[in-house]
Amino acid sequence: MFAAHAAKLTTDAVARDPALDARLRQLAIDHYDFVWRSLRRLGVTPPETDDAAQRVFLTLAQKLPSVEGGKERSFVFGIVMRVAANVRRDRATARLREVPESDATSSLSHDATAETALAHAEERATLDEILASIPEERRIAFVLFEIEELTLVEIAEMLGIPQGTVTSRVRRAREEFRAAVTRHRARNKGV
Amino acid sequence: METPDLEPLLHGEATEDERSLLQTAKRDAARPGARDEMLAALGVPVVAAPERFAVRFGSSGGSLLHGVLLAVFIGTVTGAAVMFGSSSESASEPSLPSDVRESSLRAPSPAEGSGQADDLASTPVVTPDSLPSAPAVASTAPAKAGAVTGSLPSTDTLAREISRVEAARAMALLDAYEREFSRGAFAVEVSVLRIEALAQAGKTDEARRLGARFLAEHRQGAFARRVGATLDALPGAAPPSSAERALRSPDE
Repeated sequence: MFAAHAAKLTTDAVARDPALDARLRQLAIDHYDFVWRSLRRLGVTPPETDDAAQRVFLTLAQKLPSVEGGKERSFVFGIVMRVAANVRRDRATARLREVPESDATSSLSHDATAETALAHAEERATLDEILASIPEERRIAFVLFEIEELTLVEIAEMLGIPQGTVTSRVRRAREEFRAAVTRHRARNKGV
Repeated sequence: METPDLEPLLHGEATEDERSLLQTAKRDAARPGARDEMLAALGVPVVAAPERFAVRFGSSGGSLLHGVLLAVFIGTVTGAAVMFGSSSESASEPSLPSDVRESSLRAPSPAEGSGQADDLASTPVVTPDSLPSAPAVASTAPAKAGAVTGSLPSTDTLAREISRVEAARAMALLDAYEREFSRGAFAVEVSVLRIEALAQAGKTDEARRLGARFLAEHRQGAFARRVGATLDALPGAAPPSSAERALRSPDE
């Protein structure tokens, strides 16, 4: 498994430079939660999310010496997008469902009632399905703006594209999202 | 130059269905401890030396108290090093008597032994000897401490202070563990370590109370023997009856 090789690969790549270790640690503190959420919202469902997050930081560790100060978040998110795409592609190859049953329990609050938990799990699966139907570029802009609630400026900087492009992607993705929600509700009501 | 009329759906014109769906993603969060596990898997120390105490003690809600305890601990250890001089290795070692001692809660470090600060900053790790399931043995610490105090009477107080500060720190670590892993797999081990830390800190009443409760729930086995030995060593403790000893140790 991926994690089994992580330590050795990292040892080879980073060569245990204390300064790089410290920098990597700080980046993990600053960005791990963001990385995990982003992977999850880009279609990497538990239990794969932890593994994918580790893969992001392993890649980051290998490239850390060349990462420019102040641009780490953008760099990290670039890795997130590639890792998420790879995971989805691998899953598609394996013909797995995007929302496995295990996700239903792993993302639930422990004190939720069974009915509430089931309702949340179903809605989360629906959201995954809808997000998966939005083309990659627009999905990323949508997730960062609508769910992560970054500003258009932040998203433009992170993706390295003009703000106008971000705006148009968000608008278009929003239309697609709303249309998909409407379709989903209509289907559920048997219309 | 952000487009003024574009704001997240959740803050504006989302329908109930849209809002409900988007809200489900707001609950996305990594497992507690996932980040540290990832760092550990990558071979990166989880917490940097200067940060460790800030994280451990800061998150415990008693940062000021713990900061003071830490300062006292470092000060006393440094003082001990100065007092005993370079030949004090054998004398200073016994001044850290405990099963819940610093060395049992730290990771191997390349700089081990090179300095107190480095030792304090290492990542927690439980060594086999420090495991609660390790065989209960009569504590040799008092005898060693006695040897120290025999040559330098003033170190008795110092040793006690160090021991208590260590115990307080151990309890802070145990509190942190219980907060993070309230249903952790090491709950029993943590209970045993807490009893030992309380005993070491001189909180004999609380140690007795928790120890009695523990022994009521775990009447025999290695943990029970270890807790029993801790309680028996408390000042003013009645010697255990043969029945108690037999119950804890089936071999007897």
